[in-house]
Amino acid sequence: MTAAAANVWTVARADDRVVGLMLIGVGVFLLSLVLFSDGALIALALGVGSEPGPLHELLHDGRHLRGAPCH
Amino acid sequence: MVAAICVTVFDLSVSERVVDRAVAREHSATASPALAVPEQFTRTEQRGGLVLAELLYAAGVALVVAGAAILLGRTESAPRRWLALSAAGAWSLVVAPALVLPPLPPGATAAASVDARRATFVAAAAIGLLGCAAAAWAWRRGGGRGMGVRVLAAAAPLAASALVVLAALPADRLVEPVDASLLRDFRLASLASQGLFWVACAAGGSYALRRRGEEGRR
Repeated sequence: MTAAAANVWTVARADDRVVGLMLIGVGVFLLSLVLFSDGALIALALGVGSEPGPLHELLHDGRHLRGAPCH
Repeated sequence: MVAAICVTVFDLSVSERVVDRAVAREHSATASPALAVPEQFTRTEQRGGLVLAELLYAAGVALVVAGAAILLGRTESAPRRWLALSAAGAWSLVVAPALVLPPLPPGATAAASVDARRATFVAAAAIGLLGCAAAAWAWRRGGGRGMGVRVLAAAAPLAASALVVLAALPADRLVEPVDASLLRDFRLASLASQGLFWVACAAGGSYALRRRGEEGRR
């Protein structure tokens, strides 16, 4: 861990860290819904392909305008 | 929320016209109506989907920035922290990926698979984020020096992250050329939309935090 990263962890209190990490986790999940959708981020992490579903199609225009790969 | 409202108004009034052009071109390019895949949603329903996408994206960004601000603690004033984190978000989610994956309109087909391009997008965002962390570290280390030296010290890791993205990640290639004016208009609309979102996010969030700080002192 770098000195800067260690500094971050000492600045935030332990329970604040849990709240901060939870917020980031939920936020990344919402971003992945828009940018990838249909569990594509999980599929990517597991190294398997993903099939587009209704949510993927519904958020289609938003994904293109955010510059994320769509198809 | 301010950013989501601003960008939704912009997208519905400006960007969607370009998306409609791209979708119409995509449909007309289909050789036979018998081969055309039926759409799951009408264009009107997809406009509703665009509003939903903007709200989800704004909520996601707000949660990530708020979580990161909590992790950083009280190392900076709250409005300055929000501004810095918004800039880091814009760099990581817009600038770094766009260096190798510039926005593509519907109907444009890239040579690489969508999963490979998603992996490239995530890798570019991660490299951009590391560049931002290094820039923040360099900015703090240069505390006793002049403003010019601090700006240069912070800009160097950002430039380095951009060079790493360009050198290490595969650039997007199209299978067949897309109408140049459509591609230009779509990229301008996409970048303007994203720029508007991040400026509104940075300005709205820091203004709200400044107001809250002033009310707290009264």
